[in-house]
Amino acid sequence: MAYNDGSDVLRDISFELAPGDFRFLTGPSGAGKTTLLKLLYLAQRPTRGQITLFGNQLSETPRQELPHLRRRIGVVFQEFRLIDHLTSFENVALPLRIAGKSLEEYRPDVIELLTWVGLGDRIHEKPSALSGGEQQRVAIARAVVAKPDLLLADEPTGNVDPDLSIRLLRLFLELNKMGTTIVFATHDRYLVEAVGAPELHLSEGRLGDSQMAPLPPAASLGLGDAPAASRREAP
Amino acid sequence: MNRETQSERETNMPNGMTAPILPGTGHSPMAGEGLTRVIAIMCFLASMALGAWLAVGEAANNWTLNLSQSITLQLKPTPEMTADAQMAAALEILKNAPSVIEATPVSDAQAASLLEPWLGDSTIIATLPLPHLIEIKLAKDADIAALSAQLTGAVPGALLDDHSRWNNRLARFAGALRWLAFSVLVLIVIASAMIVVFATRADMASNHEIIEVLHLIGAEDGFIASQFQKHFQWIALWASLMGIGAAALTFLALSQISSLGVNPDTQGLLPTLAYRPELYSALLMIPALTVATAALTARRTVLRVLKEVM
Repeated sequence: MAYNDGSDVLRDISFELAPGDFRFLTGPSGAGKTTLLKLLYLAQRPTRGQITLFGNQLSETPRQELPHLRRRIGVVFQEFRLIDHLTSFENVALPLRIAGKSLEEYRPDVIELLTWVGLGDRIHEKPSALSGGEQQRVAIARAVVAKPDLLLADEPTGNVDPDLSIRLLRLFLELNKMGTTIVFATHDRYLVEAVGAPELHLSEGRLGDSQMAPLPPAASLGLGDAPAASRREAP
Repeated sequence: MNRETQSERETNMPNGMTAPILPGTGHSPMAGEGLTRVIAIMCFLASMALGAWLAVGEAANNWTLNLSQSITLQLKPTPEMTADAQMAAALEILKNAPSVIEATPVSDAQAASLLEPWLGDSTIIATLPLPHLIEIKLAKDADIAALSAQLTGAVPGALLDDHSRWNNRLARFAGALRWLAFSVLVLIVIASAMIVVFATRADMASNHEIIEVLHLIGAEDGFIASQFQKHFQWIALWASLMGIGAAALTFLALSQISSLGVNPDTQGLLPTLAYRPELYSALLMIPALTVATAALTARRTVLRVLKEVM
């Protein structure tokens, strides 16, 4: 996936993700992490630049084909965005329903997944009855239930205690092992270091670059350069 | 929760039935309560306007029809002929006239009772030289002028009152009234449709998040639009049936009240209207229109919202 944007929020960004990659997306608040993710989950078009997703040049992809691309992307939204009046089960089942699967087909998978994220006994609860961490796990389950090729997570461990965040991280790593490409936006240095996966570091709308000077304060914490196996700097 | 109750709940999951994506659809007909009320009230008002239009139309038709088909022959006392001879001659002509359906002499007592409201005491009326009256029912398209000429030629003192003075004015008035009722109906239908549109849009605003989430997880525009269309169709159907149901009850109640203690011959407008099937078939058009309006509005609103996003 190549991406190159010229808006005010993000500038001169170019990188590629290979199938099966795991990337942390780091950077201070306001650096454009969420914006970058929005571009990737097709919520916004770049004002300039190009995105190629699963071999589709987005600027040339007709609008009616975008839903099919979106179904290959799982998103854990920062604010979860669960549907309030639906139970955990129904929320998680939503992507499968949209894809036209019947309840009989998806019920076992959904229950299995909810059990896997430790919510086997919360299947029939609505989001309002769940704690922040539980809602987060429902959101994660919804993002992965359709076995997406690309999983984008915006601070998926932001609302949970450290123990749970490690558990959730393990879940992402499992999925990654099974071939899902993952972009994991986080503030949490501890997680980044625990995994040691390559980083996309954003600051002031640019991807972190050792040549960039002066580095903003957040970058000076030593987040500057990630092992950039498949990252290309902007030309 | 222990394992047992959990598996119990799992097996209790509705089989083959999926929860509606929008709140309340299907399970609770009171979903979107504000919208339900607004639609019910507007449908009630539209029903009332429809009923009024039908009633006014019917009443106006009856007035003009009754007036033009019933005329009165007055036989004034005259030295040339006795009252009985006048009566006999007039009845003879009327009996043989093809356009006359019925000719009924008005008895002295009936004539006296007609005057009673003005003159009060019937003993005074009995002493007055009253003209004798014959009520005539005419066939449609009767030639009143020819009949009048024939009667005045043969019976001295005969005077045919064809009510045409009244009839023309009344016909004009009835026509105006019918137009007025129709305009009110049209205005209320337009206002109702607009309110249904606004209320649907307002209700949709609260579901904006659902539209967006469905969109972002890969739902096609048509899928999202259908969910909303179904949701609002049900609300509109339920609410409009409540509205016209209440209106039907109101019509029946009004006709009961207006026919209380009223002579069946002089029934008001509503008794006949409330029992006429046309009213109910016309009323049923209101839910059909409302459901179509709400469904179309919901669909178009969703598609418009979605068009603005990527």
